[in-house]
Amino acid sequence: MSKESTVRLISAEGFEFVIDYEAACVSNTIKNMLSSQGSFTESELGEIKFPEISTPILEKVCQYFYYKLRYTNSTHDIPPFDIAPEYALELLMASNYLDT
Amino acid sequence: MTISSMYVRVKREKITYFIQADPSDTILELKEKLQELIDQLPEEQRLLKDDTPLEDAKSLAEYRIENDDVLALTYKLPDGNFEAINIETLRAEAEEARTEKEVEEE
Repeated sequence: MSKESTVRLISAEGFEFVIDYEAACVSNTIKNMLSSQGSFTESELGEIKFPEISTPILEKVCQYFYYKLRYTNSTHDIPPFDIAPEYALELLMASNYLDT
Repeated sequence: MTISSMYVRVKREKITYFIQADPSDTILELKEKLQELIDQLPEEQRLLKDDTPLEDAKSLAEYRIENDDVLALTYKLPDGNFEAINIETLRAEAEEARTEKEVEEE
């Protein structure tokens, strides 16, 4: 794990989540942001701001990225991914935006 | 990239680091992974679980640290001591905002 192989996701309230590049690419939206041609600040700094995603939602999204990475193609029993009912709607909107 | 069997969430101030690890990894190995992200030598870092400082030589399994657990990260201060745990949360901010509002109302 090095700085170059990580991505920094920043929530509406300015909280930062540092995750592996591969985990971030579970989201097609983020993958496209990071791999687009030209020198966007996103791909240069590896930093993406999400002014419309609140901190608890963004953290849950990051947890899901790792969950997805770990259990895709897994033959073991897959534990459920718990989502608190109060976050369900916001999380749905975030996942729709992130194409996850 | 090989996917490790677990990750831990290491928190300090407003930042959360998702660090992949295996239960057999030692605390020192975890600090070495963090070093690449934060430019702090392992001896300048202290990791804590539920307010208990973790020793370098012990493994995650020995401390019963599991997937998705949260660890606190603190740095060594110039005087040789370690700073207190400082993890910002949204709730703390909300409370702060409320107190400020109350002060204004008074």
